[in-house]
Amino acid sequence: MKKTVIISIAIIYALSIFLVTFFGLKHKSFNEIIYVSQIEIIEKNASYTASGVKYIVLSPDENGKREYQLVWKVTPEDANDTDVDFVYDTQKQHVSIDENGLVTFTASGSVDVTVMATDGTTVSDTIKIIFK
Amino acid sequence: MKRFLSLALMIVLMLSLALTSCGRKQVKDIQITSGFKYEYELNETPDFSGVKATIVYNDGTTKEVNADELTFGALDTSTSGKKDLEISYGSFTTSVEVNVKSKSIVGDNKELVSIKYVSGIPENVYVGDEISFNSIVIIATYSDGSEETKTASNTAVKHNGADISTATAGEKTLTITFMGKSCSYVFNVQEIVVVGLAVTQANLNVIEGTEFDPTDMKVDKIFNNGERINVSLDELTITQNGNIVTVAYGNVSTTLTLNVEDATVTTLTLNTASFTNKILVGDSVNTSTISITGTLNNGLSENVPHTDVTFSSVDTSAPGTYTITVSYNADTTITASVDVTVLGIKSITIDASTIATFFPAGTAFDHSGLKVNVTASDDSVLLGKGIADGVSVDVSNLNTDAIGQYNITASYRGVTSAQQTITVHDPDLSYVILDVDLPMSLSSWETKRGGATFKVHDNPYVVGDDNPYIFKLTLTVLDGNGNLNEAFDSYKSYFEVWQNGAELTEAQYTEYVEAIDPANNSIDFTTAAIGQTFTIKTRPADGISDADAENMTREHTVKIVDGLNIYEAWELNYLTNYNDFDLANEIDGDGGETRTVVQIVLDFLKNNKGVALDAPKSLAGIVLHNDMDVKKSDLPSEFFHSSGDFYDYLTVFPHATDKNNPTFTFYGNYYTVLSYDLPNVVGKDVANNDDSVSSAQLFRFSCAELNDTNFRVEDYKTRLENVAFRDNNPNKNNEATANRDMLGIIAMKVQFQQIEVENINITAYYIGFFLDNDYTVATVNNSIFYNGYQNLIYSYNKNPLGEDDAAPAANHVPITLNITNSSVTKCGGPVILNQTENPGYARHSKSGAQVTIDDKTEIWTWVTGQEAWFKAIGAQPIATQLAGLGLLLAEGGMPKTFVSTTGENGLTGESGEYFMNMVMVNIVSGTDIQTVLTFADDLDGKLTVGEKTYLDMNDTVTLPDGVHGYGSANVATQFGTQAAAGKEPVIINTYTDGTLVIDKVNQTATPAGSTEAEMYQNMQKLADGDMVAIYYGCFGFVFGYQPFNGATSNQ
Repeated sequence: MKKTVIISIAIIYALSIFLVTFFGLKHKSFNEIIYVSQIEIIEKNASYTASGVKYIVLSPDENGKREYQLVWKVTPEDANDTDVDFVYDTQKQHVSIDENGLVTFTASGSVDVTVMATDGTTVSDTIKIIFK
Repeated sequence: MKRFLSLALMIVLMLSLALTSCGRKQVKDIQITSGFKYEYELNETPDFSGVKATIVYNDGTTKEVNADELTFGALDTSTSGKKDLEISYGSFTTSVEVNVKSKSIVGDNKELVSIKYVSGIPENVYVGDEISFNSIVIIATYSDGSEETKTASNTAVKHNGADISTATAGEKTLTITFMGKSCSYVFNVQEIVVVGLAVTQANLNVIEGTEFDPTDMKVDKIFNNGERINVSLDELTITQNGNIVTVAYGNVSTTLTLNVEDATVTTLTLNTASFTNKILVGDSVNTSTISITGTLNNGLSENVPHTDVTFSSVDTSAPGTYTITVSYNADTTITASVDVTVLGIKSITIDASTIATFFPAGTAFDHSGLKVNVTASDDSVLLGKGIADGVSVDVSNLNTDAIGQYNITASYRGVTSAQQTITVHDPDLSYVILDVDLPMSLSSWETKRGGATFKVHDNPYVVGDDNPYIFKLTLTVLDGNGNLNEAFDSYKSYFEVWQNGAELTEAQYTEYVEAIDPANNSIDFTTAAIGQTFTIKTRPADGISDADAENMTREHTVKIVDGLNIYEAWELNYLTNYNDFDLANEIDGDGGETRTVVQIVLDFLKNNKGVALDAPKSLAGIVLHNDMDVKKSDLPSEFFHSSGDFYDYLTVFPHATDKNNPTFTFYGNYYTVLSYDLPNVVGKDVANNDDSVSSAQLFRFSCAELNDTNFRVEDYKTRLENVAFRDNNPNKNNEATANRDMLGIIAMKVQFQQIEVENINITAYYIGFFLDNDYTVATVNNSIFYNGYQNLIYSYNKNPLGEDDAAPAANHVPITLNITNSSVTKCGGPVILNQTENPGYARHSKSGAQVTIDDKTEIWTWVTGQEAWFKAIGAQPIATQLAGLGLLLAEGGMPKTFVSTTGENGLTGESGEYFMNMVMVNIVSGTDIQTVLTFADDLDGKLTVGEKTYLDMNDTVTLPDGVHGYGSANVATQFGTQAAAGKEPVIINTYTDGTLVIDKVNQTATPAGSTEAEMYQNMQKLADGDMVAIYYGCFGFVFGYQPFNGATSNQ
């Protein structure tokens, strides 16, 4: 690289320092991550034990089905990751939960289900579902 | 005599007139004008009623008067002769001479003796009738006894008929005179009255229940005179009583007898409100609930009994809609209809409320009252079909003598119900266990282990041997009424320990299992079990049947380690085993505190948590069995200033390895330590805090043996594995809270030993991983450090040993950081910030962090230099200058540079905004840039990534002449355009040996005297590798290269 070019580079460098220092950078951008702050399982018919355990007691429908659809709310709505995991005792043989939160019992019993944020915040809510 | 009297009267009258004539009108005379009879027959009665007279007054006026205004004297007609009749008007009297004739002599000198009326006038006439008196007949009787009939045509027969009027009712007297004889005849003039009614037209035919309609009726009123006149209906009063109608006109009435015809039904109306119009196949139609109303031909309605109608039949053996026709028996053409739907059976469900579903063993099960609900083919539900309706129950599966849950079914018309669970519970227990669940901490473990929080997902679950491991299931218990027993909490566990597919032998139990505590649901392993893996099986010991034992058993595979099992956040206080902080000195103004931190924590455990310890536990490890959400209530209140914030420099959980436990492991079991609810540290000038940045941390892993003569770093080690740390102080550009965010707590400080970090996560802390002091050798493997407010890794070289020109201690080890297989990304400042205090001391000892990163490690951050942290410490200008330098390289034709207009995830900067991947900054100590620039001496430090050393500020590097280390005496002037008198080298070095590329002092790109080839060669070195190091004053910066996308410096 020729010397004149090098010198030019050096001068431009000094100028750029001056200009950028003097005028500053105009704006700032940011990519802040919005974490989940609350998950709430919505069940208006839920009861609560004295220790705060949320539960609901259900009976099979007229066809003998024992199904319960989980409904939940993630706050804030614009969290970067609003996906949830359904956590429950998978050693139970008579309960299953699909990816949409439909809880199915093949016999009477109960299950504790936690709806948990997947963004690492451990934010969650739990409900005990009892089918007679 | 009479003449005398008359004269006297005249005199009196004249006197009266004379007396009254004085000034008054007086009657002078009475002159008869008409109607006066001057001759009478013997015994004739005089009648003066028709007399008219004229009253003559003295003033010549006159007045006409009638007889009733006059007064007539008496007239005797019993004798004949001339008589004077007095007539008076008021007080005036006059007389008139009248003649009474002598005896009537008729013909043969027989004398008329009398006359008698015979006929001619009706005895009764009516008002208004005209009477003809010409027919009057009298009989004259003579003195010889003979009689003669005389009629009114005889002129001698006189009568007063003309004076008799029939205009008014009453008795009338006809006086007849004949030849001086008279007789009278009294007859009646009667009022004409209605004496009867005659109905000439009426419709007497009515229908039962209806009323007589008089509309077309015609009625005559009959008068007593025989006349008949039609009378209008509105003059009549018509009443009906039964079939008799009375028509009245005043008090005259007549009656009519009606012909009543029976009413008949013309239409039928069905009331089906109570009628079950949907029935099941096979059911009978119940028409009894249908009420029937018949509309009669008289407009009325009446209930029609079912005996009067006939219902058509319906075949209910098949589903469908059928019409039932109701016919009126008396006239089958009169009908009504109703539809009935026959439904099929879709399903049946046992109504659990009608039977006992929960009872103690030994109780008979009575299902006689069982009811099912039937869902019909139209999805309607018919409730309450029972045994009487044909429901049968299958209880063959039910054993009421054995504890357990059983299923029964019911059947109805060929359809069987779903199973109904019957729970037979232990009669000695007031509850039954409906179901069991793993504790949520274990249920969530697999999810957490497999999530994105960690890099390695297959490490086993570990259990410490220092204390019992609690493996307590969550039970769903029903009370005696079958309702959830909300208060149930304790139960006895049954445990088995298995290994390699078989339960431990008795000898193995003795060797590996210290104790099993069913009441506390725990199992304690021996130290011999350390390193072994077991499967623990557990279930409730009581209250479940043998059949349910398998369903209610849960398994958990664990590896035993040397450590203390903890379950709640407050138990992290067990880590505190040395006095990291002089809390007594920090409690400003509170006074009186003499206890050490250790004693404060011990007192907290005793007084607040009921755990009495004489000294801190001696721990080789700690094992988490749940997320630890640390709250203020989990910590001694003495840790907090009265403002509620932490004291600065405080370590919440300080732990030191020592000779008893030279190694310590923090086993996270994939759980997370959360510090969301913990405060920041106090601000500047509060409680002896002398700066605006936090120096407090959640954990400190130190070593208590640093000052031991034979201390060697390699003899002590703390390891953290499979644990996440999470705060709420992430990288965010909130300038308003920047100063406050600088006061967030640091996740952990590590020092004076080997620190092994394996598969951990530190996210959203003010500073994540802090290497505090020399003699700290840290290896970070398979870990994630992410989204920190300031830096993800911070090293602070304090040079505790050595004075000016003192030789370093023989065991001195600089801060050494080795990162492999990890992800260290995104923060609000340099990813790694190495700061060295008193670098002059490092002249003889290696100061400055020695950092090695493998090429599998992802390390970046995207900063513009304007983030909140840069502003908080005043580093914006230098960031700006660095960006300008980067642009310079781009404009100089470099193939790559470290500035770009796009950042993380392609984030595009505004015009004039540049992102830099500021990997590492190596600086001297100080909290603001202006301060640090006053340091003038050596600063070591090195960064090697993979096989490439990008930054090497260690003394081993040959520096250009005139450059002694990388400090500058007057570096403050570097921010201005004035050239400094001192040394101002700017060296851009990449994978090289510290070649000077740009000499700011001499304003050349290369050292003066370089050949063109040398210049070219030097510039080309800038293109080597993935990073570039800039030695700028006493700073060392390392940036990650990134594609330059054409932005120019003058934008």
